[in-house]
Amino acid sequence: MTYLRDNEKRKKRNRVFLLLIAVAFLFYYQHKIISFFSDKTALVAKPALESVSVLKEKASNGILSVFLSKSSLVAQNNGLKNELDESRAKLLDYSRLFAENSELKTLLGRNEQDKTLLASVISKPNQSPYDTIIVDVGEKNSVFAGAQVLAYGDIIIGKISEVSNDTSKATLFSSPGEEYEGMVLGKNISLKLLGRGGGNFISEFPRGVLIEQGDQVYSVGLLPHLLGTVQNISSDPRDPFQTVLVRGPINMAELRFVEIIL
Amino acid sequence: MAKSLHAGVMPFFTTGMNKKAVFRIISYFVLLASILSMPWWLSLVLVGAFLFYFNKYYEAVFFALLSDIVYATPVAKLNGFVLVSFSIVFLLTFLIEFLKKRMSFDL
Repeated sequence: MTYLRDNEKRKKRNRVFLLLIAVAFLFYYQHKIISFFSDKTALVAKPALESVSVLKEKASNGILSVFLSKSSLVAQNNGLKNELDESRAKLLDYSRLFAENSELKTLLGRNEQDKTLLASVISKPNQSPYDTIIVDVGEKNSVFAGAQVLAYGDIIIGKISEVSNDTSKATLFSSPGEEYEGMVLGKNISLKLLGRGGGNFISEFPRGVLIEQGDQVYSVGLLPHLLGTVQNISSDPRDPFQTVLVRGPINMAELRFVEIIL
Repeated sequence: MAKSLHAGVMPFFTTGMNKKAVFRIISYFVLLASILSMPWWLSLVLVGAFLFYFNKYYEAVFFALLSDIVYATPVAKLNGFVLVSFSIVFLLTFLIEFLKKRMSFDL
């Protein structure tokens, strides 16, 4: 009996030992394993994620339309019309400034334009704990790791971190722990933004630096892109630093298309 | 026809062990659908529930690994660590199995 019990114990110990070795192996080669299988599963995952994304969109549109009354739709329509008029007026000024900017850059011999590739978002950040998006373009569309990702043409949201043949994974700059260099528009204040998840960033400054709520933060470079706006500034009289909360202008859950700078 | 269907299929569903085995297989599809379409925290809640309901539900670890393969990128906050879902579910599996051995439900 004792022999049998010892045998059982030995078997159990061996099983635990093997399990630990397997887990250690998995952790040691985690990047290689993930990128190897990621390539293979992309073939299956892409159509599945695409169909799920289309189904979800259709379902949400259908459910919403059932619950909306006529008067609320009219009110919403009027509100949207007003917003559209306002945006049109702003766009006129934007077009003029853009043309002027291009002209100046041409005069100075630096008229560079981003070459971008349109991509459809097949998985949004809330589907994984990683704050990543998956897009339907990959290596065969000349996408490369490190390429920057734009939303709505001018808002920079992240960078491509993994590319397979048909799909790519993009890490958002607002992912927890990610760091990104930005600049406050019109004040030329450079700041290091630290991702906090959900399109939010924080940054720390000496209290003497004048930053206001509503200031726009852009990426650094000859062709700067919008990162977000200053939402909140908090400071403690005992602390020589102030904490600035910057919020991205878009709702990632509603993101359908992005552009990738090639 | 109905009688033969009843005679052919129903015993499979009504036998205690088979019924649980069928639920277990259904749970795989539920988890897969959840990983592909639902928020990640909902998948985690489902995994927790299935771990409590089924005996030695080690398949959960495989689904977590699948989730990592589909979505994972190196997490800057964790020094580039990739297997976040896998690690969470791996620990959760053993924790729940441990708890189950020390709990009894008298319903």
